[in-house]
Amino acid sequence: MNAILEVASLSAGYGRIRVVSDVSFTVTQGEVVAIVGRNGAGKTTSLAAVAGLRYGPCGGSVSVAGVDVTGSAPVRVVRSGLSLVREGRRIFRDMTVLENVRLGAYTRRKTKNLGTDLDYVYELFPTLNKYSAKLAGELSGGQQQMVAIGQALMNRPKFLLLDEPASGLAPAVVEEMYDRLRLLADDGMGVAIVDQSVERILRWSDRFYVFESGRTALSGASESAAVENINEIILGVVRLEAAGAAPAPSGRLSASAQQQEELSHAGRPQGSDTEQDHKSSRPSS
Amino acid sequence: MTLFFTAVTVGLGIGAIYGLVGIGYTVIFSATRTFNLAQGDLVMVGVMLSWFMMTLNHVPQILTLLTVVTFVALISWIEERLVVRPFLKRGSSAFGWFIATLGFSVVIETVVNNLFGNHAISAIPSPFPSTGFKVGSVIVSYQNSFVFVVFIVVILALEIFQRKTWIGQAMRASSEDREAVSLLGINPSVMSQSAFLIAGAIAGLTGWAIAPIVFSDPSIGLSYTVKGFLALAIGGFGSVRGAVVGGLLLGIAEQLFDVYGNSDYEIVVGLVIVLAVLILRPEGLFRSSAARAV
Amino acid sequence: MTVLRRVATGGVATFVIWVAIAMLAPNVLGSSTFRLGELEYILALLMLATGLNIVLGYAGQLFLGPSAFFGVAGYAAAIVATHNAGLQSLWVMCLIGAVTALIVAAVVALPSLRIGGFYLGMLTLYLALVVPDVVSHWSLAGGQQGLSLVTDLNFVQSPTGVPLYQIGVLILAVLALYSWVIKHSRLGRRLAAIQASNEMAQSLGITSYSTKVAAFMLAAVPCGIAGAYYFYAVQFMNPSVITPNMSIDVLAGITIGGGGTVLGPIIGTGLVGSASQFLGGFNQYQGIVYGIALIGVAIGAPTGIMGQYAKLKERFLPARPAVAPLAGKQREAARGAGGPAAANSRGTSDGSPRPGGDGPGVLLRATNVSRGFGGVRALDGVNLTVTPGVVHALVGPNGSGKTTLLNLISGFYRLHGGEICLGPHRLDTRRADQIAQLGIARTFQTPKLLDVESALTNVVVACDRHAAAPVVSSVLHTRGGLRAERTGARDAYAMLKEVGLDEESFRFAGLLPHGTQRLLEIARAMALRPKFLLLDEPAAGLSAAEVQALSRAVRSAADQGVGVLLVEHNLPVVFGLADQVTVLHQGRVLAEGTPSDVSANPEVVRIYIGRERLTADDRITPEGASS
Repeated sequence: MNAILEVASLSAGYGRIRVVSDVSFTVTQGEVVAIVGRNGAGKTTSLAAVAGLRYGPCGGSVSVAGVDVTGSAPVRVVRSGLSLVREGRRIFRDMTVLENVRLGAYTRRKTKNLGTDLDYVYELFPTLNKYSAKLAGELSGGQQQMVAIGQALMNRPKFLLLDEPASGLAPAVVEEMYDRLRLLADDGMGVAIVDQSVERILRWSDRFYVFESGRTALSGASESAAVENINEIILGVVRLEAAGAAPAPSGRLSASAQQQEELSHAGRPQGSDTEQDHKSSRPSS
Repeated sequence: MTLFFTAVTVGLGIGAIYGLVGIGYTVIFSATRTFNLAQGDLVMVGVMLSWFMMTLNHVPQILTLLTVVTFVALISWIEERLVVRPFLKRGSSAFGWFIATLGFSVVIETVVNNLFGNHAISAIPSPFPSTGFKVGSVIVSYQNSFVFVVFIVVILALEIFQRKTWIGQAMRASSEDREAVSLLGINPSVMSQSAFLIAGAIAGLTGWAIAPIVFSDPSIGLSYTVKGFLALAIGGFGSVRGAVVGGLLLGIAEQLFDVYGNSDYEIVVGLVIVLAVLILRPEGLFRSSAARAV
Repeated sequence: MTVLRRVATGGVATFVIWVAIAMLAPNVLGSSTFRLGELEYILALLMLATGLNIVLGYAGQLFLGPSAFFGVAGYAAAIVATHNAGLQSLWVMCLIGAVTALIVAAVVALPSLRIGGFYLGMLTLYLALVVPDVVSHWSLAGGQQGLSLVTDLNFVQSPTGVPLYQIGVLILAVLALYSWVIKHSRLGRRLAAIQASNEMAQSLGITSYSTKVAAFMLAAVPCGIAGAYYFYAVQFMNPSVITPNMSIDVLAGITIGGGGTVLGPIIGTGLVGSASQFLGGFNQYQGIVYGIALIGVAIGAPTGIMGQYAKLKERFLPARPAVAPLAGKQREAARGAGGPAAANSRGTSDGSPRPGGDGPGVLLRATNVSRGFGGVRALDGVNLTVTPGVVHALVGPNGSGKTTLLNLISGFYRLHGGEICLGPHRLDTRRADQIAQLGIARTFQTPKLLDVESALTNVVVACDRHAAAPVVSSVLHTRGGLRAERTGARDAYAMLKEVGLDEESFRFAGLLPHGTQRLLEIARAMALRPKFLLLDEPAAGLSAAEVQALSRAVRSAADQGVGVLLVEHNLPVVFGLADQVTVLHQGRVLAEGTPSDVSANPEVVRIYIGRERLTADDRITPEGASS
């Protein structure tokens, strides 16, 4: 029986700003789950909250392979077998690739055979082996992303959550990365990936969830997904007429008043306010 | 010329002390983004305890060393638990911990004053001959050199620690991005406790090493606190390298001023240098990513 | 005389009672020379604390070595007095003390306030070590023994005895008043803004460096007078008086009593001073108590005694929050601003230009803007022009650089390439506060407000920018200054009414719901009478009704001729509100035009969805909705 990551009725926010009100999803070992939705829908906040990073009051429940980690600090969540690769390639730039990756195994530092785990990661991402002595800050974006994933993998997680790993990367690089992630899933890991490009991630995933206004609005099997309906939700597009081409430009993105109301719950703050804040913890999804 | 080199060698010894205090700050600052104003007083505790054990009670050197290091590390750890932890949890950017650690230093100083304040200020006998050895035409004191050696040992030990041990690596990473570190399953609380223990041990070691060359006087604590900070201000926050260079430069500058200027006003040297640094190159000589938080 | 009138409305009775009690203290505690000396020392400490509070409590800057200023001033007075029989009067000494303290403050403050933070704290602490050390070696200052007028036959201490003590009380009362007028003035509001958030202060056009320097200098005066008074009263000065412990005592006093209030430091330092003077045996252990007090207060009750008192008062006698600095008359004026006056008060109460500024044609232009972050190009060759009276939305997916551009325009980030201009003025070479002064107002992703002040006061801080009278008159509470205060309150109220928040004027800003805080930020930004308004994701976390109010406020701003740059990713809101839209993608401009143009642009659709266009073919319904 494959273990399941189960998130139910999650709510989270930043101080007094409630960004996620009711998010529920599951990830089973062996599958790739896609998480889509426009900016501010709550994807990053949800993943962070699942991993134990809280910036305000949280609600709901999270269980990793049967272990209840609701409200736990990241330490406990990591130990239970869940690793989060945050967006923005948050690795340690002043340390080497090898140091970065090895540090990911911190919770398992007492284990004898870390070498084999390292080999596994190198097999998956040969570039890391090639540049193992280089300072992580000197690598390209795609390489840094691999470092971040490799680091997370050293935890031998049952579940790997990736928040917009494709952002800022060339399409070819993304394809290669997603291919590896698919391999990981085939090897028995439960993988969840957030991607802004709906069509692309649907190709690589088994199931999908659409986040909207802090809730999981839609879900289903990827191969039978109607990109239409998903796009509607994302852009607030009025349903297309059955026949013919796209509707007249003026009507395209003018959602009905009711839809506007439903969709006006925007997400959470993005980016950072000042130079000093740039390295702060606020995600930017 | 002899005078010049004598001043430089003495300055290296004094600068080593400042550097040691600065290293203590750096270790804590990297892991916790707070500044422990009690660091200088912890060194003072090391000095006083060494004096108490060696001079008053004739305890052998090595045993004193072990006791002092352990004891001061323990006090530093207690400080982390009682005084600093509430601020780390809160994660606020206000300077409450500045005042709180200052308060702790006042408590330490008063306690030590009450325990030993009445005793006459005296120097602790040095295990080394007081004549010193010759390097060219310059006479270098053994005790001073010993302090410098201790300095080098601490730097190397820290370097090894930070590169070879798991916790050391985690602390290095922590100075860059604490949140990322917590996502790797590293307990931030363990980080900060380790930092305080290490900084405390360094302070204790420093106190023991300098006990024979400074007077056993409880009031030196604040002076070292500030001088250690000056070392970082000159050399740059956030890196051991900064503490080392800054401390040595400050020590040498002071000694040169003593020789060529007026030794009565030695204390002004630090002020002038730091003001100059603030005007010319505020981030210190060595920039580092951790420094931006200052 | 107007000052007295204000004091009259502010509890002068209590003030007078306290002064009277203090004057009579020797009757209760004894009036021997020794006892008087102790009391005079406490008075000096209280003066010192009052001065320190202006920097530490009001401006929130870590000034930790007041004993240095005390020492410098006292020694200056002492040196002059012991060498010059003609300059031995109390007033001359106080003058010398104040001037000396000012000079030292300038020398120290100018370089170190540029850095601030705990740098400043350490430096001032160092100063507290330097001063006693230096004077103990200086023959002119009497070395270790110090200076004394006791044996000087020329010196006749007059006033002396109890009257001298009472004069000290009066001096303290004047200094407390000095502290009060500073706090309840435009300067006080600026200091509060700086303490709350440097970025917020800058965005309101407050030059935080010069304001902090001003605060430092103002604080130096009471510190200097304290030293001079002390020397005159006890007639000697030596290094053992001005040890760092004095600084610690005063620091403990302010922290315990509650910085940021006029009374807090006096109460706290009074306690600390009395304890150390009158509890003999306590002396040895006082460090432990003060240290623990510092720790405890810093951790548990950072607002000190006065803070706890305010909380209790709020609990048991809930009243409107004190609308400092508005006295009753101004509150009425503010409320009277509703109605026809409001329509005209959009910036015309003193004749200065309405928002929208010098008329049409002043464009906000970003040309070929580039900015990188650690190897990533956040913005690359971006061109953007915002026109007055137009709502211009800036949208784009995650990481497209929207917020970066906004921060670049408002001066919080440095440009790496290109330039940004407001009409003929280059913005990218200027500081954030200068840019705000030129007419660019902004809001922040998380509202930055003065939580402990009322909504009205928050807006008044912005209205201060356009006050007709200079800051000095506000501090001195002259007739002109007070008139300007009333005008400011009226204008602020009108701004709040514009966004529908007039009902909330007197509520604590920190307690307002999130959506209301955002509107408050906008009202405050509009109070700057900007030419351009930059909004940083204002719709985040708002309910539908709040978004409506927001949209109305934005539209109203544009209608008044302000050019609005709206960074948002809530697309329906944007497309309903914006006149122009610029779409950013990976740091470059992808598309530009009206909302309908942009939404029909296949490139835009693709970056959001991942496909070129929507077709009518896909009709398969998804399997199972989410739970």
